[in-house]
Amino acid sequence: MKLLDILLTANRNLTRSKLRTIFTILAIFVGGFTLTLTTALNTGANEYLQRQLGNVSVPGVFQVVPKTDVNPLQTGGVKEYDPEKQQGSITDILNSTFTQNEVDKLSKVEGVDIARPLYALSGKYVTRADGTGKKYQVSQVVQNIGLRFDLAAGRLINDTDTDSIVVTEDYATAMGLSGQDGVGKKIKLAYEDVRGNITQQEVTIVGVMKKTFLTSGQLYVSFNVSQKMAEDQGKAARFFGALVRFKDATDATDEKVLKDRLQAAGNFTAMSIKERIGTVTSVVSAITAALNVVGIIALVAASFGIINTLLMSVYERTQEIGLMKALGMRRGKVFGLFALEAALVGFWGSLVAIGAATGVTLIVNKVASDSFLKDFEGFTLLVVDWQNALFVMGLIMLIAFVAGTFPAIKASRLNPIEALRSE
Amino acid sequence: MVLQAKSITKIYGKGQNAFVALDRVSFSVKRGQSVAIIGKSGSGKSTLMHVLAALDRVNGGTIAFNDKDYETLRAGQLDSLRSKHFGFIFQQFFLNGRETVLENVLLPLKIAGVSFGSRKKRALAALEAVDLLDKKNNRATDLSGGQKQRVAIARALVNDPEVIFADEPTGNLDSENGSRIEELLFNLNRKKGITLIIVTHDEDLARKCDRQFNMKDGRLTEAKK
Repeated sequence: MKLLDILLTANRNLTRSKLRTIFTILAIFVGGFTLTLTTALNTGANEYLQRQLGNVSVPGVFQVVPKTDVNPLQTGGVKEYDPEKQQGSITDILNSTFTQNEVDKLSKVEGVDIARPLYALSGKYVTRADGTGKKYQVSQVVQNIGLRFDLAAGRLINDTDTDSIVVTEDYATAMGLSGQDGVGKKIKLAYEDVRGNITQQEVTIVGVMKKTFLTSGQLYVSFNVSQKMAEDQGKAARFFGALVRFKDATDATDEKVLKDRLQAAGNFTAMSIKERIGTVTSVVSAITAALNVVGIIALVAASFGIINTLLMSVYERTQEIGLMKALGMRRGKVFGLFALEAALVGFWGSLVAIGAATGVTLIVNKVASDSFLKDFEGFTLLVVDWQNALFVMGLIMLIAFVAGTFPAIKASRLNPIEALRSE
Repeated sequence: MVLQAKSITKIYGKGQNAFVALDRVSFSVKRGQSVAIIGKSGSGKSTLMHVLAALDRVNGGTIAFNDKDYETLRAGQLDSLRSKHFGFIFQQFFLNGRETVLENVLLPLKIAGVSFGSRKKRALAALEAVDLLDKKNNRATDLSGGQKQRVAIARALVNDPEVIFADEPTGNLDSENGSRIEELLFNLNRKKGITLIIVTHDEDLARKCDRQFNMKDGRLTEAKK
């Protein structure tokens, strides 16, 4: 029997007991629908993160903080104090225990281009330098760490810039300096010094960056500005970590080697920008993986339905199977006929599931972008792409095929004489 | 010799419960002969047909088709032997009632892997030979008993077999339909030279065959004409 004949015969057999087939397909549908939606959520979130963060990370840039080997939750019991062993805890980071001494150590590490203190700076407001506009609240002033954000206008801050700032589009718009108009304009950045006095620092806008969920409310300043702010705020001597950049690092550079080198230089924990972004995506992946398990469980339950349906079919068609074997149909082909029937149930089930899930996706995306995702521009919540659709379909057909093997083996082992004798 | 059995033995069960269905049966058929095997139910005549048609293995002795010993063939080779060289007709017809007459006749060609192109032509020719061309698109359930058996004959001859095995072909039919089936079978035998092995308890049918064998308690004897 030719493969196409087996396929056509299997498909026709499915249409014989339509109701039974439909219910079996429905069981598959539930699992397939869930799985399609969860993978769509994963793709949607990851695509968004990729678009927002994909180009942001700069190779060879690390944030270095004190190593924390004391577990703050004290799980595993109380440990004996060892004066030989340098100990660190999470509070070392919060208390800012880094000094210039540590930064010097890091700058001597092989291949390091720049090592600079990393300050936690707070700002008060920004306003136009000519004093004509309103004052706008600032949540966070961030030292330029060389992230490659998408720009609406201008450029990013480079190492040699002084008194420069990059603002997000919403600040630029608020101050009436949106787009190309803002670039080159002077604004005032106000902050509170250590004695509680408001100090104003005049800075020039070199770039306006697009708003992303990472950057909203943030202002990026050149190193000299952050240094001055740190001094005024009494944070220059002790700070929470360091920023390290390696020479000649590219996307192909093995950051693990660089990381090990930094961590060997002292009691440090180094994390690349890519790793920091990776933690965000891995959280998304973990959530969707948990949802996928639900879909898989539904499919496993459905596979018992397939076994049941096919077993009934084998019993009903005993004579027919006997005849086909008497007429010379090989055992392997009889097996193939039933296994393919199971795979076809999976195929139709997954096709309907993917189709329905795609429809739901369109509606949910519309509702989401009009409501809770309004502030996340360009975030498509659910994305069904063909790779995912094929993956879901393949997985379901595989599960269905495996479920079909048991009835198929039963059918292929029927003795033709006995099968023909059965009523 | 198209079929040759030498001292074949078939035993069902084991030990105390062993039942000897075929007891050292020897038997040979020339190409183009029509052969009847008569006997009461339980005499072993159906078992003999099954082993000759390679549907079952023997416990002792040898069977050969065109000098090819079944013992030397693997299961798959026996399958293709049946598929290419044998045709089968059963008392209960065994048609698939949900499918059309044409689909039923096509089945052996599908199994044999005959190409799509020549399949339909051959099936229609077989239906013409049994005079049922006008029923080709009818469902098999809608036919009368005689018509069903004619479809079964068309199905048996569609792959141009050398041997047709017929198990009580007229057993479920009235005398008028029965004689029509007989006529068809002997026509095939005469015109196409197809060897006929008919298992029956109908002595009239047996008498029309070239040779008659009696089966009793697993032993076979040829009746002299």
